[in-house]
Amino acid sequence: MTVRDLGYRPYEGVRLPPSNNTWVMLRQGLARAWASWLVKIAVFLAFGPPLVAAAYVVIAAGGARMMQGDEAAMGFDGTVPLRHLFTAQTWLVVSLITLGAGAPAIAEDLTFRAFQFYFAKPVTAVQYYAGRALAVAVLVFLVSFPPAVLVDLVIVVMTPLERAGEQSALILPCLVYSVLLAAVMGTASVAISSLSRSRALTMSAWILCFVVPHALAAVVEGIGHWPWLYLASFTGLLGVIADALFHVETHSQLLWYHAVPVLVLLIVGSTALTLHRLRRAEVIT
Amino acid sequence: MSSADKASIVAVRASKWYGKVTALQDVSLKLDPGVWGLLGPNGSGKTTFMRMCAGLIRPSLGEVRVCGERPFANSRVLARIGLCPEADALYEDLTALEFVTAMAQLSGYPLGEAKDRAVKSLADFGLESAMERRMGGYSRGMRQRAKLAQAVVADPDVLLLDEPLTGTDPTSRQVILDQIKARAKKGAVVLFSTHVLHEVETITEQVLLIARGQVVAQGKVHEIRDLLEEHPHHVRVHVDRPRELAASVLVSAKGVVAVEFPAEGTVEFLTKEPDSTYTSVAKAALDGGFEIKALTSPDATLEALFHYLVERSGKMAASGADAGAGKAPTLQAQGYEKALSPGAGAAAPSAAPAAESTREAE
Repeated sequence: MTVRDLGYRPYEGVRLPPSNNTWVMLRQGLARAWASWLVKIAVFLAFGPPLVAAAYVVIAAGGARMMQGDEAAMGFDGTVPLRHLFTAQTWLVVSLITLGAGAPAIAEDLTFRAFQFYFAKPVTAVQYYAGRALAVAVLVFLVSFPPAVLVDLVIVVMTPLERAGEQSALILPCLVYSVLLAAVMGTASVAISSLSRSRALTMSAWILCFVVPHALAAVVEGIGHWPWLYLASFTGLLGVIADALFHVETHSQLLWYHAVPVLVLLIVGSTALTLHRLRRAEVIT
Repeated sequence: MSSADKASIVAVRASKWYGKVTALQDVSLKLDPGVWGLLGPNGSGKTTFMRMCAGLIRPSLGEVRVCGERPFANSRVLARIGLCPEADALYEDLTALEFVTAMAQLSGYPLGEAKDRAVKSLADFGLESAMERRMGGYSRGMRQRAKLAQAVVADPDVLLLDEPLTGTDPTSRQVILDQIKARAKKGAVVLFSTHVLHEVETITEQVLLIARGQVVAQGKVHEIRDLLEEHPHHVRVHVDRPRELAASVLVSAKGVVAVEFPAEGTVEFLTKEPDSTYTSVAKAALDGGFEIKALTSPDATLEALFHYLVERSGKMAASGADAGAGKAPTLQAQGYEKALSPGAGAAAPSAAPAAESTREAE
């Protein structure tokens, strides 16, 4: 088949500005992420927790309403299923997405020496990084916010009309938490991926970062009632913020205003580290 | 068209070093549209120079301008450059079409047009039937052609090809060479690096010789060939009676400038007329009944020429020929350029008098 058979005509339009390359990198990052079987499994699993949460709402609120009338459903607390939904999504789905798409992102480009292709085109290190981190963040956001919205809709439908406004307002903390989760997971996992050209190494490092500090902090808090080790666990800190957003009662001394600065520092530090590694790698490769 | 718009590569005393390692030293040149062969042995600085032109690295000293502007982090210039890197590394799980389309998009084309251009580029390099296959299953030659397709997908004004014929079969080679010629005909500057003189000869007359990070010569291929002939050639013979053979050869051979006996049973002739020396050795062997065990040339032609040029550069620098001009390494290169191709146009104007003094010193 020749080119003419394929209907090729010379391009006479205007070339898009280089600023458009962030979106190109993002689209490419999403396509590459989707190629990972871990991400496909994560997306499949992402339907599980919301279905369970919705079923719980239907049984707890809808059942009570049906059996005992509206008054019984008035006391239903919609924050509980939503809070648990985020915990489940983080540990079950987000962990797999960041493992499949975030932790190997830059390591893979280093392995395939792809920098020379990107940076010989009008692509800056910032655009490259933004594309890679945003791709992970978008996926994380998509598996956390839309399921929460669906569960909240079920909550609104299952609770009496008088509480519909209050229950639907839960969308706001869901949005805030999803954005924060996406930002932390996108920047941190991609930062880890920039540390080595070995995907096995960066993925292992990510698993360690994800699990070990949280487990240690849980043990230390359980034994010594000392919660401050959670400051070293971004999953723990995200949990603290989720508790605050959904007004979950906690006896811990570690509160949201301790967690926020550490997470902001993590996002900024991860971004700075990745950009530093990118600029160094640009010279080496 | 302003000078900034014209396709060109200009280097002015460009140097690059990594710690104590000098990768490129004082390179000055100007390349206009056409195909330019960048010849040099492995580790001579070809890739460093290419990467500098592609905006991937910044010179430590001096500057490189592509189409009139510095390429590093300059999106305007980078949009006009196509680079085919040497490394045989591509995303194995992507198809060539996906890869080249993404590269076209990064050059500013909307998705639909980018895909059309990718199809065209891949078809130009003979990959139309394989473009939807994953590149992990490609042969070395196909991978090379996929890399070339991404380099030309945006119709660049400056095409930088780092060892583009490595691992290619004769058919692929012809396709690639035809494409390179076609791009140059359209007015692009094509810089083509290789360490094989023959590859350059098939595509261009214009060559740059680079060795140890310095441009040691610039000119036409036939002038390089002349220089090869001028360069004293070693002929080594492993024979049962080396001294007697040497005596017989010296009687009839022309151009022999030295005879050495580097080891027992070995004689080595240093000659400016290798053909005559080979004939004389054969004749002496027949006439004198010598038992010749091996007849070799330790020179690896081009490699030897590089060493020869570098040694000459060193000798000239030591003689102080360039010291007056205060620009030793660059002017040696300019001196060779002058010697090879008077008025070849690559020399900075200030280099000319020093180049002449270099030749006088010789």
